[in-house]
Amino acid sequence: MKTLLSALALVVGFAAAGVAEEASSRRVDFRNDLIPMFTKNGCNAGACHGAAIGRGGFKLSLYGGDPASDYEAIVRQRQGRRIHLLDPAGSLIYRKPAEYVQHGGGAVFEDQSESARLLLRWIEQGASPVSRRELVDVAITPAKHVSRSLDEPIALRAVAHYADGSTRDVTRWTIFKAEDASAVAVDPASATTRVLRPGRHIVIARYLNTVVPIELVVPLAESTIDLADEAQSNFIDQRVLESLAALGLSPSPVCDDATYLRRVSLDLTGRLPSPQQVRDFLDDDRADKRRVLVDRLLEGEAFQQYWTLQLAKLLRISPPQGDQQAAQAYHRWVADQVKRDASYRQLARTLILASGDTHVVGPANFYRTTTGPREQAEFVSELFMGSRLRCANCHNHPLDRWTQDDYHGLAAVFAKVEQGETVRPKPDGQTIHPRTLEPAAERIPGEFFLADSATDGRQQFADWLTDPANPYFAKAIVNRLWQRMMGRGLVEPVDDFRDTNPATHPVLLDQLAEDFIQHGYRLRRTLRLIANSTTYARSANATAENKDDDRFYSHALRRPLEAEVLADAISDVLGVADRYGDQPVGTRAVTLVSPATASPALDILGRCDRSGACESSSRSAGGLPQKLHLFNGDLLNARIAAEGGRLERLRLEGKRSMEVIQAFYLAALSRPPTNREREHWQTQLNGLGSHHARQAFLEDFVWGLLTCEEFVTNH
Amino acid sequence: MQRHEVCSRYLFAPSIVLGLTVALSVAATATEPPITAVTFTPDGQAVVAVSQAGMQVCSWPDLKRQRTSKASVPNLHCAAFSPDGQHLAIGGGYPAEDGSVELRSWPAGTPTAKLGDHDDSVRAVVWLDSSRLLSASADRQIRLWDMKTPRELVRVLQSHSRSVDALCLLEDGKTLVSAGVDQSVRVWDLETGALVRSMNQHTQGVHDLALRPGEGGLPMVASAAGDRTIRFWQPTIGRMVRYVRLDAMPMDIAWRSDGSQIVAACADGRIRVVDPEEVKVTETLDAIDGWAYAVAVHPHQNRVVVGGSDGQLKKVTIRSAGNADISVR
Repeated sequence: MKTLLSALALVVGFAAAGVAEEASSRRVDFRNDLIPMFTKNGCNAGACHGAAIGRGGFKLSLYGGDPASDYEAIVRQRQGRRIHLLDPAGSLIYRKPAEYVQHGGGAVFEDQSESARLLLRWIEQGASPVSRRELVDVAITPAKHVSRSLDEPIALRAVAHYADGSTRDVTRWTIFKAEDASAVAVDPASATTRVLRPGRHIVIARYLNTVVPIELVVPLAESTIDLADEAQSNFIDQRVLESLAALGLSPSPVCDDATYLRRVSLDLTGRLPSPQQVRDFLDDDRADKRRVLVDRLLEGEAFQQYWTLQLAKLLRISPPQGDQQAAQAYHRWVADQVKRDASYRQLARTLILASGDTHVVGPANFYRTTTGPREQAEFVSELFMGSRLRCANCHNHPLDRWTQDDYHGLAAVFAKVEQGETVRPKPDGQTIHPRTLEPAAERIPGEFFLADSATDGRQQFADWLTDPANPYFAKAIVNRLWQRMMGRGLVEPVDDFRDTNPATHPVLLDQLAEDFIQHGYRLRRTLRLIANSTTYARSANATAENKDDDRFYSHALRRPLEAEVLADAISDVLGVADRYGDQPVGTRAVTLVSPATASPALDILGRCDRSGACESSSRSAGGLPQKLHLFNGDLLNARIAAEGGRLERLRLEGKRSMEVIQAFYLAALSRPPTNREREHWQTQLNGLGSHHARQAFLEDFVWGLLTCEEFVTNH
Repeated sequence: MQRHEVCSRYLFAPSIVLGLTVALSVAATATEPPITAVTFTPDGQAVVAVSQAGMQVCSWPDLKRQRTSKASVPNLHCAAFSPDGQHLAIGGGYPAEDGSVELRSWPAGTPTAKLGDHDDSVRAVVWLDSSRLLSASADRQIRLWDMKTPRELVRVLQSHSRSVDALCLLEDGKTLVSAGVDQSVRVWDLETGALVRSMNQHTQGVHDLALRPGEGGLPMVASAAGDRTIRFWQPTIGRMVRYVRLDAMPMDIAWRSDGSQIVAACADGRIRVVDPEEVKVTETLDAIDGWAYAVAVHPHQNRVVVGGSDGQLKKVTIRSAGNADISVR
C-alpha cells in the first residue's frame, strides 16, 4: 500500500514539477480560481458536498456561494486534515477526487488535469484564502441567439471582469446547462451548444455566484411571416405578435362569440353564462358587444365573489387553528377590497402593517397564515415579490440573488410581530441565523440591513416593497392576473421570478406592470386590458403551424376548471344545488370561506386546501380521481334526474327531446349544437321507441355532456 | 503588557515585542501545518506539540524548541502521556486510509511500538493505565489495546455513526465517554464493552471532552462542540447539567487542575475561560492568528499553552481562579 502511495507521490511529484512554471507565473486565487474549479467538477453541487448537510462529513457552500466557509471547510475544519502543506499530493482534498482513496463521488479529475494541477499548486503556495481580484461581472456571449436551423453549433464564451479593470476568459470554468436537455445539447468540452427542437430555449451559464440566462431561438416555422395586418386591440397584441413573428408562428383566428362569452364569463365571474345570456349575446349585433360584456362582468356581484375567492387563495385564507370567526373577518375584508376595487398597493401595505384583534381586524389575520417568521418571510416573498426566498434558508439561492442574510433578515422583520389571536408588535422578537447562530439582523431582501432593530421593520419593508420603482411587486401581481386569464404566466411558475427564469415576453410584462402602477394598482384595470385584447380572444383550436406552441399565445390554452367553478357549473347545468357543510342550500362553492368546508364534491374535484400556494392547482385539478368520479360517482349520476332539476323541469314543461338537448347545450357549453351535432342526436333519438327509452337516453346525454372535455375546461 | 508569548519554533527572536510578533508569525509560518494537540510533559517542564510535521518538544515556559522528530504515523492529531509518565502515545494516520498510534518511551522519546489497524486517522487517545490505552478514529471505532506482551487488541467499541474525535475516561477506570462528528456523547462500560447511553443535546459535531478534576459528587465531563457550546454532563446518570454558548466555536478544552474553571481554545484564535457553575465566560484572551486547535493547562501555574493555525504555539497567562472578573483582551 505504502509502495503504491510512494509511486503515486512520485508521479504527482513530476506533475507538480510540471506545473512549477505556471506557479511562478501566477498565484492561485482561492475565490476566483479554486471555487470555479470545484463548481465545474460538480464538487459543490446539491447532489454532492453542496448539499445542505454536505456529504461524507464534508460540506461546501452550494455552488461556492460562501467562499469563506468553503475555505474553513477545506483548510481549517477537522484540524486541517484535508490539506497537507508539506506534502500537497498527500492532501485528502486531492486524493479523494483523484480517487487515490475511495471517494463516494468516484474519480472527479485525472492526475494531470488542469483541475488537479490547479489544486496542487494552490496547496504548494500555502493554501491561502487571499483573493487578489474582486469579481464584478461576468459577460456571457451570446446573450441571445436566433438560428434559422436546428443543430447549428453556437459557441459560448464567458469573460470575467474584475474591480481592478482586468478581464479573464473563464469559459472553461463556466458551467452551461440547458433548462430542457431534450431541446438543447451542450458540449462542456468545447463550450458549444446546439438547439435540437424549434422554439425558445434557455441555457443557464454559471460562474461563481453569477448565473446568466442565454436565450436560444429557432423559429417554429421555416419561413418568416408578416403579421402586420393582424388585428391589435392594445399593446398586449403588439408585443405578442412581435414574438410570434420572430418565431414564425401564425396565430389562430379570433374565437366565435359563444366561445368568447363562455371564456370571459368563467375567467371574470367563475360561472357559466345562463342560456338567456347566451341567446342575448349571440343576438346582439353591436360591434363593441365584447367590450360591453367585459365591463358588465367586471361590475357584477359574481365578479366580486369570484375574485374574492382568487385573492383568498392567493392569501391562503383558512381558519387559523379552526378559528372560523377570524377567517370570516379576513374574508369579509378581502371581499370589501374587491368590491371597492381597492388599490392592490394599499391592500399589501395594510396586510403587512396589520395588527389587532383578528376577530375584528380582518387583515391582521395575514400574520396567522403561517406558523412563524421564517414561513412568513417565505410566504410574503412568494406572494408580493414572486420570488422563492425559501431557497435561501439553508444556503444562498443557487439561481437567484437571494442570500441567507436576505432570508433570515426578512424573517427577523416578521419575528417582531406576535402571531396569535391578537397580532401585535413584539420588539424583542428575533430569529436565529443558522450560519452565525446569532439573532439575524433585519434586512430588506437584496438591499440593506435595517439600522435600528428596535423599531418595527415592517414599515420600511412595506415602503420598499410598494415603491413604484420596486422591481418585483407590480410584476408579480400582473403576472398572476395574466396567468388566471391566459392559462400560463409570462413568468412561470408565477412565484419564481429570477434572472434565470426570464419572462417569455419581458417587454409585455414591463408594460403591464407600468400600466398597473399608472392606473392606481387596480386589478380590474389589468383584467379589462387582457380581456379586451385580441390575444385573449384567439381560438383555442390550434392550427397545424402553431400546435406545438404552449407559451407564446398563438392560440388560447385550454384550462381545466377550478374545483369550485366546476362544482358550481355542474350545479347550474343540472339545476340541483350541492351541499357544503352546514351552509344554506344554494350556497355557491366560490363563496365558501373555509377550504375545509365539508364537501365530497370539492374534495374529489381537487380543491386547493390553501396550506400552500394554489397557483398550480388549476392545472392539475382533480386528475384521475376527478375523472373517475365524474364517470362513475354520485356527483353526476345521483343528480342528473333529481327532482326539481333542469332535466325534470324540461320534461314537465313538455319539451321535446331535441329541445331538451338544445337547452343543455346552451346551459353547459354556452352554445347551440352545430348542425352536425343536431343531426347526430336526431338520428339517435329516432332509434328510440318508448318514452322510457328516451328518458334514459336523455339522462345519458346529460351525463356525456358534463363529462366531455368541452365542458370541464375553459377554452 | 500582553500576557502571551510566542513559541520559538517559528519565530527566532525571543525578545520581540508581542504586537510585532503576531504580525511576523503570520508571514513566517504561512506554509506550516497547524498544531493539532499539545500536552505538558509529566514534570511540567516542557510541552509536547504534534502536527502534520511530526512531534516537537518545547521547553516551558519559554517555548524554545528542544527537539523535533518525525513520527512513523503521519498527520498527527493527538498526544497523551501514560499515568506513570513513562510512555507517550501519539495518534494520526493517512486520512480515509489508515490510522495508528505510535508509542514512545519517556523522557527518551524513543519509539517503542505502533498500534495500527484503524481504517482512518486516529483522532484521540486515552490511557486506561500504564499498559492499556484506547484509540478513537475517524473510522467510527474505538479500540482498546493492551501493551503487555504480546500486544493485543482487546476490544472494539462500535456505535458511533461518524468519526470519533474525543475520549474521556472517568476516575473509576471502567467508564469511558466518547464523542464525535455524529453530535452524540456516548457512555461505555469498558468491562463489558457495552454502550450504556447516548446523549444527544449537541447540534453539531463534538470536538473534545474533558473530565473535571476533583473528588466528591458525581463525575462531571465537559464537551466542546461545533454548536459553539460547552456542555457539562454527569455521564453516569445521563444528565446534561448546564451549558454555555460561546462567541466562537470551541475546538479543545482543558480544566484547571482544581476544577474551578475550564479553558477553551476557539476557532477565532482566542481562548476563553469559563466558570462551570455560573456558565459564563470570565476571560477572553487573544492567542492564535487563525484557529486555535489545542490547549493544555499547566498543572501548577496560571498559564496555558495554545496551538493552532500555521504552526503557532503560544503561551497565555490566565487569571488565578479566585480573580475571575470578566475581561476581554
